[in-house]
Amino acid sequence: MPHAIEPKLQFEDLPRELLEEILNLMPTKSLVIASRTSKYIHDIATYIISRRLRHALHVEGYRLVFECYEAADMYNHPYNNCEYTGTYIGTESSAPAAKLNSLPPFDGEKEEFNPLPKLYTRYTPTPFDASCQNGISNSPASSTVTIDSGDLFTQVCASASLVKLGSMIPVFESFFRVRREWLDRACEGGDDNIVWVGMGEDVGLELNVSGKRISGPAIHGGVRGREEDPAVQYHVDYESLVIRATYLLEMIEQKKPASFYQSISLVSQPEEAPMPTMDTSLVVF
Amino acid sequence: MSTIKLLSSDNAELAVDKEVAERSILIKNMLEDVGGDMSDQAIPIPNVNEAVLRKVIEWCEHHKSDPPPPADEDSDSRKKSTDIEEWDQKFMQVDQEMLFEIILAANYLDIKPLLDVGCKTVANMIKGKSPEEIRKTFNIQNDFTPEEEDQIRRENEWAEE
Repeated sequence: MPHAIEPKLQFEDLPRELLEEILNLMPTKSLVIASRTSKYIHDIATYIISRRLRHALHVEGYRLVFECYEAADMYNHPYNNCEYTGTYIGTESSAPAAKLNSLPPFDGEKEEFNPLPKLYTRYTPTPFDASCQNGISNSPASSTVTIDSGDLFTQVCASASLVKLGSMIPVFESFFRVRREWLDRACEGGDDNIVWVGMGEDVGLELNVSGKRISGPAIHGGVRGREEDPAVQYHVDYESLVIRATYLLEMIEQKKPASFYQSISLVSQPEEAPMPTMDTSLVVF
Repeated sequence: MSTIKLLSSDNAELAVDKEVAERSILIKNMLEDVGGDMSDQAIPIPNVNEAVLRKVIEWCEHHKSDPPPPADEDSDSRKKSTDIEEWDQKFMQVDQEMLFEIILAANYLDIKPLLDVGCKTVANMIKGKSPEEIRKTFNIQNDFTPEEEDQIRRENEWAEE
């Protein structure tokens, strides 16, 4: 009985192609968790996720729309179209970055033994503009950020969704704080110009801050009994939107109907109803 | 109905209906190559022992009249589903070693639907478990340094509940 004395056949003894087959049956989220089990499994999981990423980013034909606004301006801000500009290791596009198409083989020996979670997909937001070709403006999306006298920060909401005809995938909807101090530094050309949206470093905005303008006087003898900082306005260009590639992939896979979706159907109902009234008003005029 | 004989790696001779054995594309092709007449000679299956071969034949027996899988199966839809029909679930309630042996045999014998069921069974054992639970389930050695482990955990925080 030669079989009985052989060591027991175990999971990692299966040939690599079969382990790939098994792990490929799992959603990306489970795969990411399983990838922490061992180096070998990590290596296979990484390979599968990178393959899925390539497929999701280049084949599925979604377009990313992005909006960003101060809380007070929530009804009056534009949607921005986002141009996919590549997937890179890390968030700095100027750094020696490898595009996803030419990633080095995932090799445990190398220092950078798993670039996958460090991959960020970059988009350039540009406003929709009916007067331009393709309906998309050439200038970057921008807005004005105001910090009231005495305030240390302002809170900004941001959200993005992937859309294609008849389908919508919310990617994130969250808010972030921009601090007065940070804006000042960025305005003077500081090198760290990424703000992270929400928890963790999964969604970030690369901001180009300029045009600082005092918009209101400093309040003397304010709450703190000393001279407060004045109210200021900054011009902010949204240079890039960066999204952790594995996070984006998971959002695409989930394709869960979102609160967004519900709010859209709520809006569209009253829109249909007033149609006849418009007719009547035409007759009146 | 014609019967053929299979010879396991541990030299057990098993008689099987030709129709059942032909669920294995490997055996089917072999039989076609020799013109279908193997009634007097056992086909050696050198990679599969008797216990596993019996198990595989049991599966083929139950699934002998399954329609062939659609040729152009969408790999994406297959990926999403780890549903297993009830009979197959019961069939796969074996110890881990046997489960892996069945997967290896299904792969070697080229029985795609059985391979699928085996892989789904293992995938379902992984899904929803923490890395530590997965290691325990499959007796996997954690070969990350604490630093590496910590780094991977931080980078993948979004995947945690």
